[in-house]
Amino acid sequence: MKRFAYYPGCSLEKMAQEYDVSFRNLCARLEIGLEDMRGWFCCGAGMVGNISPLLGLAVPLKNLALAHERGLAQLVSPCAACYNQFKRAQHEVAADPKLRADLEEIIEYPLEHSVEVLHPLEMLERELDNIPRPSHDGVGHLRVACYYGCLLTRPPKVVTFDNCEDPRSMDRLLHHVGIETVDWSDKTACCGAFYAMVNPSKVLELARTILESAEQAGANCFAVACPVCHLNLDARQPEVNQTYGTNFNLPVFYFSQLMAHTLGVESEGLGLWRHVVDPQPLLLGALAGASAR
Amino acid sequence: MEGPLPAVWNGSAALAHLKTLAPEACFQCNRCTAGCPLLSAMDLTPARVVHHLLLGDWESVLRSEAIWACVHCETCTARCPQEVDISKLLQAARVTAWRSGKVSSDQAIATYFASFLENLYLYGRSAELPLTVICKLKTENYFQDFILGLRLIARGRLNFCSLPHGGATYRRLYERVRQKEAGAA
Repeated sequence: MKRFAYYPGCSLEKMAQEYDVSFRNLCARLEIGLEDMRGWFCCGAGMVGNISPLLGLAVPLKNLALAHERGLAQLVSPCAACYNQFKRAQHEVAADPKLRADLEEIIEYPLEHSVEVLHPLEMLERELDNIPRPSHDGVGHLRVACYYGCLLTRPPKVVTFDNCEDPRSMDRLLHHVGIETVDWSDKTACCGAFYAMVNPSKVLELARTILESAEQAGANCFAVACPVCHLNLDARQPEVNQTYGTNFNLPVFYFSQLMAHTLGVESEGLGLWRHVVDPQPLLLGALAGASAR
Repeated sequence: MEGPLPAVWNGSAALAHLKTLAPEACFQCNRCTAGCPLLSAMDLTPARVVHHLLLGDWESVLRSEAIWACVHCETCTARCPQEVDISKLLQAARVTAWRSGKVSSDQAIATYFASFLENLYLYGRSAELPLTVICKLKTENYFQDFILGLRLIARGRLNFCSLPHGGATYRRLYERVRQKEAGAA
């Protein structure tokens, strides 16, 4: 069994528990070992760098050191923001020996053996041959708009993930398990992220554009890989409808929920009840449609 | 040990490695500006921010709304044909604004950052509810997103409190960085 250090990040502890639960269940089905790290703390979320760039790098590197201490060479980070923080810190340290020496002193850990940081999409693509194709046709109704957002793919030289203007890894994974995805133009658009804390109307405007673009491309739901994207598209969707007089009803799944579903993980194991836009009629309706055939 | 927001830290050491950002490569093609999703919330476009910095005019940049509207989506940095890291320049401007005491108290996003950092300093991990409460108390904006909050609570999605996981580790790092920066000054 492959073993990875698992860094859930703060959002997956509560706000995005459905991402955590479905991803753990998915990995259990695929016999991928996720090892919980003791003592992990916030990655800095891009906030710490606003008071001290040095501290903004020390925080993710210290978390990686915790994984390395446990003898794990690879770490999986499902939250796009955490993933970005790790990759950024490693990128900067690799380019600047003086900075690396300073940071080694600050985090009290040598950085010569770096931990390989992977997003679940990268990790799963490497495992593609071991992911069974589902036997049932219960997902044939789905037309998924894969929404990658910002921090997973940008900046390309730092994260080196897929193609930053037209990423396709999530689409490939969903195709593999028999789910159809749509081609659309806003897959790497920004949802406004934490700007919602001060100016929700700006975020509603951005969310509306994304929802509209996906719907026009023929999608009936989204797949995302970031808790903030999920929050702004799912939890704010009723507010978008109210503000703009629109009628969107597009469930927002984590890609891990869809994949785990095709492998037979039941609704409780996917955390579907936690969504604001109820995804169960679409997902379970699709199953009912398949069994009727 | 100081509090979670070190306005009096020495900024020059912290900003030393940001000198490598090479804004002089900018030829004002405005591609950064064209792709910016928060442009309508900015008073200076990203390209103009770079231009002001090139002229050495930090003052206009530090006083601008633009540096606080950026959410680091990295579109500008990803698309710059001259490989100027615009997103990082904006971050450098924010650091400088903090350190030189130029952040106005009605700058709501700065208040959110401060709330986030205080929460992190105490608990080591981020918990949405205390963070939101700290932020609301500071901005005295109690009703914005009230319904959204209720919806999330009903679905068990707001963390009421966070056990202090790793708070001590964070504070130790914080203190070591502060000493390092003071020593390099």
